[in-house]
Amino acid sequence: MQKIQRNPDVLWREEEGAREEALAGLDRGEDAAEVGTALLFANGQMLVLNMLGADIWQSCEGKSVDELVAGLLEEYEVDEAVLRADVTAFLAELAGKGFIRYA
Amino acid sequence: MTRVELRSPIRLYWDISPQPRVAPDYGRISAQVAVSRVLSLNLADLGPSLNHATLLVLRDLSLPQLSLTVSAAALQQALVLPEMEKVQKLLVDCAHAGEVEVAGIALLARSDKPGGISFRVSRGNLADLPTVAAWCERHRVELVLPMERLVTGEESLCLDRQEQAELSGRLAAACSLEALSVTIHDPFLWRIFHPRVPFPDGVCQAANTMLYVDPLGDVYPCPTMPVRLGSLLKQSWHEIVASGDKQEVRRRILALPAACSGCGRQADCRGGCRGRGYAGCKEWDDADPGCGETPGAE
Repeated sequence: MQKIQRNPDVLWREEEGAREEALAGLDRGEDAAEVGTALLFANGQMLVLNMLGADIWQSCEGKSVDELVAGLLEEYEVDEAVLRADVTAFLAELAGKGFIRYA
Repeated sequence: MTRVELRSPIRLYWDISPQPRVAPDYGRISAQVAVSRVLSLNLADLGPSLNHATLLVLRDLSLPQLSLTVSAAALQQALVLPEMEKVQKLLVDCAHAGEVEVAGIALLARSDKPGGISFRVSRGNLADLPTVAAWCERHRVELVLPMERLVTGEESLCLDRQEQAELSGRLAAACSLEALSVTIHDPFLWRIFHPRVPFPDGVCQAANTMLYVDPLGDVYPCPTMPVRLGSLLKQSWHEIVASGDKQEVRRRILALPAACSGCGRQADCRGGCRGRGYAGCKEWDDADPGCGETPGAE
């Protein structure tokens, strides 16, 4: 099973207070998907991540997609198929930008 | 998600030279920037030898990514500096093709770090650009076309559509643009190098992902935008980053210039370089003269 490797040249940071803002929005029943809580930056390209994206980025190193999805299922109350589809699409975007690779 | 307005920048461009009579407190600024969560510092010292201030900043400031641009005259000094340990990328400022070759060979021979050529394109050296690009491509050296320093009175380079097309053709004939590693901040220079690839920065990032500090310690949205946001001699980095003036600049930038309304290319260029548009008459609604379009023409 191939493992995910983050590109070490990618710089990233969590945005101050943004995760709390997203969680507060969720408590109010709002969609947190559009709240940027972290960003990645490499080769002049910036990618802003929502809470799920940030969690994927922070926990993906050295894991297979199955391991990553299993870990995230412990954090998110969501159907596995839906989560897997979101994770797969996001990883494809990261790979397309050269932010991760599989080895 | 792709882009948002950030509370604090991730990129800082800091020009150290020429040294002013009243120098900023480099240690204090470095300490404030260090805690501000800036990810990338692009330090430039283009004097004939490296300034003591540059060494102070390199010593005091640790960020995830640090690049240093030096003059060709100061390259040998830079290559043996102990402070270079912290520099991930060393760029050599060059003004013409001959200088690129000499500096580039020295860079390749001595540096164990990624290096590159910083080529400030102007009317005077525009004809050299294809040769410079070809040299960089052949030797696998990164080419950086730095942002124009309109803040310090540098003259801006504006090419009309015919000049852009001619330059694009000469570049494509001189080298493989796909194989060339090139950093371009100007959306219209980008279009010359990559006619079919959208400009990755999208809308102007001045005062959002980036800020610029000039040698006097004055802070600007970017090197091309002559709108002073504050002075690090009198204010803290945090005060300037959180200031209403900075937010107002972003509000202005996010509204397309009135002069671009009706232009069929505005969805692609998003007003182009807003600093260059503003610099001429200090009007936010002026178009970027570097776009090369004739107002009113399709």
